[in-house]
Amino acid sequence: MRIKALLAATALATSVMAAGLASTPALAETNVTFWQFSTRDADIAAWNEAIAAFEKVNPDIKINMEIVPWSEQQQRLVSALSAGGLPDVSMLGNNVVAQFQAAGALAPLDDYIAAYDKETGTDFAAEVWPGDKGYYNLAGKWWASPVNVETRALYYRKDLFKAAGLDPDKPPQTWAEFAKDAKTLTRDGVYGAGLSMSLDYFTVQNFMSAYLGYGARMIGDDGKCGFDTPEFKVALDTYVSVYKEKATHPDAPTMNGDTFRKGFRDGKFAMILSDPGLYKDLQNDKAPFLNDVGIAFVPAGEKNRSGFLGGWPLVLWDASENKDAAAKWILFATHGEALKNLAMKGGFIPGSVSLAKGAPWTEFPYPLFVEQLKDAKPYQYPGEAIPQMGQLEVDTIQKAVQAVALGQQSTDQATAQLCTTINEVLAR
Amino acid sequence: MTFETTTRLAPARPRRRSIVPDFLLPYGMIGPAVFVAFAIAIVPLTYAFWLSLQDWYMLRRPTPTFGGLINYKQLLQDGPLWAAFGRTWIWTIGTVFVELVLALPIALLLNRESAVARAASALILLPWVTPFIVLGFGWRFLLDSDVGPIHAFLHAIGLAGDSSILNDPVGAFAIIIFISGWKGTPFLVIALLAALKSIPEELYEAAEVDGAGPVSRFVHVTLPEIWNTAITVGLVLGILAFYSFDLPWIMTKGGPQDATTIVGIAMYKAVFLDLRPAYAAAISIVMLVLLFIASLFVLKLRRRN
Repeated sequence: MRIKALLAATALATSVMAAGLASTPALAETNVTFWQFSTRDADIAAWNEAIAAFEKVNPDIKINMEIVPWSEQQQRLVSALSAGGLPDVSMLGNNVVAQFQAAGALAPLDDYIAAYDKETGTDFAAEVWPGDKGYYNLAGKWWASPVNVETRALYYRKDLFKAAGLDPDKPPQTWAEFAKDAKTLTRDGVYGAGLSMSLDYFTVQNFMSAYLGYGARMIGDDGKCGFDTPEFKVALDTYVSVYKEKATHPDAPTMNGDTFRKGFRDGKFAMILSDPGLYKDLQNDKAPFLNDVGIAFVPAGEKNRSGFLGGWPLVLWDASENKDAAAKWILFATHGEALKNLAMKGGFIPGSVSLAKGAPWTEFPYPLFVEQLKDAKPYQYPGEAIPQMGQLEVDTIQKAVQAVALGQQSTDQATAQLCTTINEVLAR
Repeated sequence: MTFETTTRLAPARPRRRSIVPDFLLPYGMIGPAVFVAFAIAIVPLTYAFWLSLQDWYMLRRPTPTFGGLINYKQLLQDGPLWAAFGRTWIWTIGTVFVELVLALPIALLLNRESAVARAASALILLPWVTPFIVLGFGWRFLLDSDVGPIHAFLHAIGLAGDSSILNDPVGAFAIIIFISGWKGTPFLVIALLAALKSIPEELYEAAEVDGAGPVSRFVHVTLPEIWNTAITVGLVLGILAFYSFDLPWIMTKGGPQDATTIVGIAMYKAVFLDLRPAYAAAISIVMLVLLFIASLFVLKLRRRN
């Protein structure tokens, strides 16, 4: 009897389930894994909004966002590249796109971009900042779609300029003037400039403005190190003179970028090269000297004015088994309202030229940064992006700056050593 | 007269047929442990050795191909790497030396039955359990030339100039070795404390009867009794120090220049910056061999004593 009842119940349950399944339309869901590097709550919230908007118009695609902090992303990506486990889509520093492209780990986006342009009537290539093209268009193909673009401008304290007898409306225009003013401004416990000499990215991001401005170039026409020139040596001497003249913090050869930035917010430095986000931080801090903060173009060298060109795009990993869905997500997040919202919430300049030229980037302090983007160049300018940049920017240029600052090497010795190392890396 | 044995043997219980033959039982019992040891030690080691024989510079070759001894040949000619090996030995010996010098007096002080000693025994663990990232930034603050109290002290006694000691190649290496030893000290303190508490009181009483003073009792009773513990735990801490990476990376990123670049940092750069995992694997194999030889030497020293 019991068995009969059990069988009847099972049959009933099965028929109910079958009926339920028959009435629901089959929904094949494609999962896209996305590694996002920012740990800021505002950024994460903005990305979640973008994902929700994307999933609303693409109900068959699910975006799984995983937070991988910037400080760990290189380790995670390289580990996944060698042992498996890469995501479908991730952010990437603009300077290492060439590295992973050379390793055969990225998938080109050209076909997807062509389809997107056709569908939306946009022109992807025209929307990318000129400097970024060198980073993302390699061997004639697009390997990344920009989200953010970044450059540095000169923040300076007008009140401290006045107190030191300098004209607050005339910030330094050249690196030589910058070094001179920094020395004059160093008084009463305030250092003239927050200028890094350490083995930190902040050093090369600042120093590149000097060496490119003086006309030096990292890679010569022969494909080898191009730094062993008088232009580079003058740039190095001028940059390091700020430390040697005690116009920056005595610990500058071992301090990191965040500490300098925090120092400016705390009123310890009269000048610093930084991004638009610093102004937002000063506003949030309600800094007492906020109204005395001026922002000017980065100092020029003897040949030109060259700004740092940072930023990060989204890339499609070649190991992805859901390339169509992943590419759809990339192009959605890096265009239109989705990108505008991400940029506004994150306080950065969008990697799309037309967006950056509209509101809210028409309000102070953004226009100056947007204007300077015209002069923003990659480290290896005018050469093409090289896969070894990830190695070179960390372990060579910053070491040369630190060695000269600490007096461990002369400018000539440091330059010779720098070129030997660069050539060794390039020849590997 | 005869005695009749009344004791009867109990009827033998029928032997149950076991699933595993008796001679296999010991193997079955140690099997899981061997399997775990194999999985966590031998497999990765074999993989590392296999990888070290590959030719794999990811920028030129997306997948590994057999390269024989190519990485070992490059390694032999890599001057900066051998300099890093040299620094690593100084780092290892220095760290263990600092640990011994700090741990012994602390353990002797804590080897008393008092409330203060009990509370201090718990507090002493703080550096050991604090993550490197917290310690690193904490010490950077302490050594800051503007606000760091330890910088002020070092400046006052002439060991630091106007800038942080981390700017000085020798000073930076010395101070990071000290911090590394300071972090490992609690582990040694706990081990020495356990050894001290196991020394029989009678030994001290006998020594006292023989006229031994405090110093003599320490040299002839305490030291020989804790020597084995000190050597064994020192060896473990030395091995940990040899594989260090976190502390010098957080404090100085291996600088100024290469002054604090030890092999852990060189290996990290080989994998994550240079994208040469096979070369890094070769470095790790050489590290292992060198450490194995050193460990054998230390263990031999312990047995001789």
